[in-house]
Amino acid sequence: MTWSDASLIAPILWVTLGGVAVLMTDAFWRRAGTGHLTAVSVVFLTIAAIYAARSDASGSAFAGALAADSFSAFFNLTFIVVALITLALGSSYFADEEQPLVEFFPLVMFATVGMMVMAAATDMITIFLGLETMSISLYVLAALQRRSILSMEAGFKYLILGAFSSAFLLYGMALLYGSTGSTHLPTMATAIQGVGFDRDLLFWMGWGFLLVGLGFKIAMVPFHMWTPDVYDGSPAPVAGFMAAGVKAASFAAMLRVVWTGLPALGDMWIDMLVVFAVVTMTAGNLIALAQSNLKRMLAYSAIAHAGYLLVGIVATTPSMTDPAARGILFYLMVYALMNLGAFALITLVSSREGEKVDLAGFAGLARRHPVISACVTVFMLSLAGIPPTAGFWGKVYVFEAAVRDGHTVLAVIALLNSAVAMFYYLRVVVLMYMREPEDEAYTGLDPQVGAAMVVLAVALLWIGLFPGPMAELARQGVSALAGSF
Amino acid sequence: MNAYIPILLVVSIAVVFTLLFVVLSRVLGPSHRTPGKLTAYECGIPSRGTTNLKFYVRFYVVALLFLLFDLETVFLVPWAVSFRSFVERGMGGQMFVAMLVFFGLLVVGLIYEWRKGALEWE
Repeated sequence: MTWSDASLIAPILWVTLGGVAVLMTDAFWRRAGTGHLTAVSVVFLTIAAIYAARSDASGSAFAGALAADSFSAFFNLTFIVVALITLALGSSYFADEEQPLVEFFPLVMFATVGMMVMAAATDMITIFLGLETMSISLYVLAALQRRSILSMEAGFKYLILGAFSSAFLLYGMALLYGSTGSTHLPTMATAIQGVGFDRDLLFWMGWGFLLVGLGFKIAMVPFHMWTPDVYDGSPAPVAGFMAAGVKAASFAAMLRVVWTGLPALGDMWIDMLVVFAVVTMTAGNLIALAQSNLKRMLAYSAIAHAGYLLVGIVATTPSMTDPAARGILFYLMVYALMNLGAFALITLVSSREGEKVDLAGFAGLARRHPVISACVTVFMLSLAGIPPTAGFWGKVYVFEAAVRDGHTVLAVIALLNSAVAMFYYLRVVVLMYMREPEDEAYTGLDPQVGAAMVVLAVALLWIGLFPGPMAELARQGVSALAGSF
Repeated sequence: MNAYIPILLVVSIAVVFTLLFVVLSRVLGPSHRTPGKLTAYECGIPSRGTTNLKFYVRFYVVALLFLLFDLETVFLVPWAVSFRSFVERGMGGQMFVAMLVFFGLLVVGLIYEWRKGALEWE
């Protein structure tokens, strides 16, 4: 470790320091509530965000284990934004007067560190390290409500299945190392180009196992079974953090692997991803139609969105055209924002004693809380991909790239899926506006969560009306990897 | 592929010898099936009770702490052994700082445990 290494990963170090600082604050400064912990976390995340935004330094740190480039800078910003909003949602949710669940704060910080390491990793071992840092924190976060049997189930299920998928991932990495002779992604790419692994069984098994491991984390069908149960049982802010952060981090790692490590063989595994994309979005959307529980509906919608994002990866491989690659990053950022918004709604109407997730429970929300309902409408329209929201542009960028790359059928299937999805997203809006409210529903909403929802809704509308700056940011983000083709 | 043949040899020798000695001791060894011989061996004293007991849940904290410091030792020993060669190559300062960072994070964990009362046994 040298100083130049340390300065290259400054955002990661600041978030790590923040996690340590929160732990120490909690240990030495006993106070009621969670305000002081939130403050410490926010300060360190803000410093990290400043470092991430201002970083023009690029290079690889720790002997090629991590890369500091515009790609990692983009994702660092994404994760910090996700973490900040998660803290806003969770700080009062977990602030019970008797026994506040203070573990929430350091765990969110450390999970964010893991995500940032995943996005910066250029070595398979580092990817695994980041993935485990993120996952182990999340196993605990999912089971944070010790009194709730559902939360315990979610944590346990996530732990067992997550460990199982990690084993697949690690085995795949070992086989890839065995066949290419390196765990360093650029070195692997050179080895692949030199030898040609068209028929190397070891290599293809390795790539297959790797895809299973990553597919689990991004909730790709048929490795999606854990998603609804874990989202349903986890506390609402944690579920939002999972849906937004884990997906972005796992896609970031996947993009590094396919763009930096395996571009030479793109045309060989592209068909496989086409099938996975179609199955994932269709299954996600069709099952989401039948859900009456908002959390499970959002879980299946998360699966469907993983399918759309896979379309983006298909469109960028093997010839990475700029718009498609830009589209994935844009989509991931927007997806994180709108999903956090949707989970903020659940946070808002829930308490630690019981989560209010039944769709019918949202009936008539608009009559009591018009501003909140307007925000939720923005989130749902954005998730459905209707202009003038940001979700529309995410879909335009990705699907347009798929058409341009010759995957017209895939794009048509994706569009049909979007049409199906509109039904279950808009159902929430219809329920809010067209039904009579239940008695004594939604009294005393938390102002902090409400403020976060307003900020998210405004951001989504702003990006929807003026997608240029965000698209430019995403373009800069992928430009770092364009050289590796 | 030839590089792996020695490993294959070692594995097959291990399997053959293990099986051989298990079978030999079974065939050649004396066998007195008295009740005393058939009970589980428990430090030489007569065994009693069942092993399906309830354990005090606090043991898990002890186990976690043990794991933490055990791993620390596993990492510290090779670092200490190879430290001299790093100093000779002029990387001594870096390696020292790197270990201090690792050590500092562990100490943070220990302080947290202590302040949270995990080290108390009442």
